[in-house]
Amino acid sequence: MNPTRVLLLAAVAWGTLGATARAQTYQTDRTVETPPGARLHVENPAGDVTIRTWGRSAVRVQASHRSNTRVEIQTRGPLVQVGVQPPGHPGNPVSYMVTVPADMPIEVHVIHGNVDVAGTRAPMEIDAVHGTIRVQGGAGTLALASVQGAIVVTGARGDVKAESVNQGIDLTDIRGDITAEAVNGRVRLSGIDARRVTGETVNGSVSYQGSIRSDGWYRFSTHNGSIDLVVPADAGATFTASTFNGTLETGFPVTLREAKQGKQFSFTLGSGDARVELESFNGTMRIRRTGEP
Amino acid sequence: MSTHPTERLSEYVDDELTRAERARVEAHLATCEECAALVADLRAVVAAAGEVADAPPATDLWPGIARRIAERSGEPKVVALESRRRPRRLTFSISQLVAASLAVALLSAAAVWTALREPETGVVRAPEASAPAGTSGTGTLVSDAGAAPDAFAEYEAAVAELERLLDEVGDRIDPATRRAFDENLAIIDGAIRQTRRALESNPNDIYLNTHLANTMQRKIDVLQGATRLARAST
Amino acid sequence: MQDGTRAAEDPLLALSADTSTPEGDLKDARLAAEGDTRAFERLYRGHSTRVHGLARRMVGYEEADELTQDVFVRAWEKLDTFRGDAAFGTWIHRVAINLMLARQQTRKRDRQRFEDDDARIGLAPVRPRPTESKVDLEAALASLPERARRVFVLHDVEGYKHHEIAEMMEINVGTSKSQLHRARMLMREQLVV
Repeated sequence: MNPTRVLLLAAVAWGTLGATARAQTYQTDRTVETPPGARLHVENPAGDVTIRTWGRSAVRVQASHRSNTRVEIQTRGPLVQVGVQPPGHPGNPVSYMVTVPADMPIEVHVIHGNVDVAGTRAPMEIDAVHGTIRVQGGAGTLALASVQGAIVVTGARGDVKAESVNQGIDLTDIRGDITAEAVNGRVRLSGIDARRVTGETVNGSVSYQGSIRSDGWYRFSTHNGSIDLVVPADAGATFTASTFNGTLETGFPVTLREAKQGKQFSFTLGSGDARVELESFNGTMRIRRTGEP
Repeated sequence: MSTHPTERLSEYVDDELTRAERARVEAHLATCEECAALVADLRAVVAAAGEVADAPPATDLWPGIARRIAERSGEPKVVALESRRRPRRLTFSISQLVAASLAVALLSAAAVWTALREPETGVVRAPEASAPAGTSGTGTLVSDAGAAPDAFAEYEAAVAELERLLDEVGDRIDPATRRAFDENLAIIDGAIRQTRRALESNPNDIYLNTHLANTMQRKIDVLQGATRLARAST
Repeated sequence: MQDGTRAAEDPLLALSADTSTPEGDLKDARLAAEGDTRAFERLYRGHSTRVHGLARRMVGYEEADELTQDVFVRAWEKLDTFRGDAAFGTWIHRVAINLMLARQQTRKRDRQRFEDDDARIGLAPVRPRPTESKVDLEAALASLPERARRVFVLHDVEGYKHHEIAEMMEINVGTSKSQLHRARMLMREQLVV
């Protein structure tokens, strides 16, 4: 989204918020040069944080806020810290647009606010309590956690660790290992190229479309929900599917052998090298080939 | 201002005053040499602190550390760093499951499943055993170091303690977030109930046993997250 | 790639803090979590200086060695909780601080000593005094009352914020600020005058 538009929207939102008709919106716009190896750290109790990239070795902070808050950019060693004095609260939000070098690692903590990051080729650590985390890009390790918000990542070239309590996780076009854990939300993984994948939720479905590498280990688990796997036709893997009340459906032309203990199905495709584990207490588990309906 | 705002000068140096307070202090500093000098001194102290350069310890402490670590090496290293990222594998001794009078007894080949209490957070976590090399399939029969029938009870005790703790500090979390946590804990509780009911008629089912352990671990994770959030909120 | 063998030559040269990187630390932490003590030694080499410095400032020169060892042994035990989403240095620093604060709490209770914040209960400076006329920072630290010293070290030396210090030390933010100010005023007398 166009940065100016974000700020204008924020300004309008704050304009209609709040008890004081006197409250005015102020803009801060400051750029600091940054040394190589610098990392960004943003703490924002209230308000959205949007991060984009540019080619300069500098960090630009544009913020929209009330008059009685001061946006601070502190350089402490390799850390570029962006925050507000006095600390914000939901009635006094600050919305940020931060532009950074594409290879700058990012750390963002917000309580009430969405986080939107695009264009980076660097590691990041983001957590939000009430807010959606949206990432396009990223490299190295992405550690993302939200309590009340969804997590959406596309195009990461690194390992992704995503945790959401009350919403779902959506990861698309990822080249790197994945851990996606939700409680009350679905986990949707597509376009994945990884060696290790864990997709887990308690109340929701889990779906996976991606590679099954011969040295890989893939585990998908839900309690109240279905599991849907789409795998390449030439995948070589040992599949184990466990359930209590649920069923397994697959069009693969293999013999299903019911294991001796409990309701566990296992079968082998091709070389059987990769390990794929599905668990659903109550739901349907489906394993399809790419292209199959 | 008739008195010197000495007590606020550190906050002034740290840029922690409100705009109004800051203006008042600066107005005072403009006319008071003593306080202005004090501010300069405080800045010098902060600068000196920031420039602290450490030298390595005079003695090489590694041998002592290595010795103490070796003393602990009798126990296998139970939990891998990426324990949450790597899909879990547990192997069981079915005869142990049957022998234990509980409906659920979880045992591993690499280590006895013991509840570990972490002093800092007071959280109990069940370690996940890494599969020993050479095991294949699921439900491999192995002999183990001994049943741990109390592990489950300890697990429940830890959950109860975390819930009590959350009750104490929970009002620091805003109501909407608190509701979200409560709803999700209820979802997990529902899953735990269903799994335990299923176990009553299938006590040896490996999937049900591991699913129960995983779901209880989830509950501890969520409780821990909520408690941490509450403690971080002022 | 260093293999961590401890040769007769000075290991500090081969495995000094200059060569530790966040990525290398993460790899070593993973190896160490599986039991690789050579990997853990690399982590020790990379971070012992900073941990020891913190220990010296928090508990004094006499106990710093033992405390540094305790920190690394504790870190070894807790490696499974290092999730790699913060730098290893940050993580072990936090382990160190928690350990130091907990230790001092226990010791205080054991000896039933009451902390009188107005009294200057300092740490005995055992280290030989420098020959310069001006007292250096570490010696000045040793003379501070305990709580003020801890807040000063955590805030001005280690860079933690007041709300973090308040949580770690279980005090109010206001207390943290006033202790910091107190420490700075006392340090000023020692360092600047």
